[in-house]
Amino acid sequence: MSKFSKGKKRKDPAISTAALPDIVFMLLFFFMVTTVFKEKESKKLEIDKVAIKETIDLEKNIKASYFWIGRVPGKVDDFRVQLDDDLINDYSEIKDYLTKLRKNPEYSQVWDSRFFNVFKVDKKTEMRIVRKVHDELKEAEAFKVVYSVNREK
Amino acid sequence: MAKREVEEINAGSMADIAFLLLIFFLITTTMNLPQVHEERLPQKSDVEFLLNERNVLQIMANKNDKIGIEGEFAEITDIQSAVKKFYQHKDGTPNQPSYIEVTRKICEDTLESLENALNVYPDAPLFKIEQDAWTRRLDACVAFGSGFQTLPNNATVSIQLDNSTTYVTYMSVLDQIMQGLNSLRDSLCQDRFGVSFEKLNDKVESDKQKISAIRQVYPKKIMKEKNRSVQ
Repeated sequence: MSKFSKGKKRKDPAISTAALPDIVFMLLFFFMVTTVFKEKESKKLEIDKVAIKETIDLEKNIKASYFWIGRVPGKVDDFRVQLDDDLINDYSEIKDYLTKLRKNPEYSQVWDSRFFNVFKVDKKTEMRIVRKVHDELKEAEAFKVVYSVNREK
Repeated sequence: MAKREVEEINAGSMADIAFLLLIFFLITTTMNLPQVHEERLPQKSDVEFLLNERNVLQIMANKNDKIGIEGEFAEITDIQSAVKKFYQHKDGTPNQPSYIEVTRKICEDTLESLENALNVYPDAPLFKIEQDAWTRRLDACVAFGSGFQTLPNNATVSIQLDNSTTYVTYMSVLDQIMQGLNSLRDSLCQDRFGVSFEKLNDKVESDKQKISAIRQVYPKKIMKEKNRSVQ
């Protein structure tokens, strides 16, 4: 009997994989929490956003309609308004759109409290366009407006 | 002699480490909410507001994005100090609004007479607005533990823009006004409550009262020129 048996190979025990799910879940949670959904961007218009110092956080869990005002790509001074998904040809479409939206009980219940009109406007836009949109909003009795801006440090 | 096996590594504590990391990231990660400037559009009305000239701080921007304050050309950064002066000055300064005195007694008396008035005219909207305003002022008096001075109801910062003024100018004007206003609010907050205004959290009930009390002293009042005429 020899103490050093060379012929027989010793079996390594299998490494426990019990902790693997923990790691996976940890990663999952991490990404779930840190992911910020990219702000809605307009695909139809080019918008150079304004940066200001005094800003507030946009409230969570809101109902909103999105207004984009910016340049049509490739054209120099063609400013257009996009409401949610579509470009607007005539300003009166805004009132019709919002009136229709308000018929939906999901919106009508929160119309005066948690319904916001989110504006994303290009720096060089003339105020006449913004004003025309505001006038339509007043007609539709949607008074809450927020301007989406970048925060200047 | 028995064959010695390599002991299995105990992985039980792995989960602990994982949770520790998870909690660390959970706490340190901040979510960036979209940054906005909020504005409330005025009700559509045909009523022309009659305002006293001295109760209005007029800010203008022309089609070349040049700024004017009270009818004189100025730099955009001058707005901040003009706003501060408008909200906080020695009572009786010419061309600046005079203050109204708010104390607990005055609030209670006014509310009582408004109550009586509402009994007679239950649908008068103006009385209801006044009632809301004075109720908030009373709350502010309670939060401060004393009375305060504030601008009269019809005092307002007015912005007059040309149709060709660019949006960036409008935003900068609003930003300057808010910077002036917030620095006043901050110093008042330091003075009365010993904390900075920004640190107050509107999710906490006691902070919420402080915020609304401070807003009663320095309310955000911005009016976009359209339906008003100056006396």
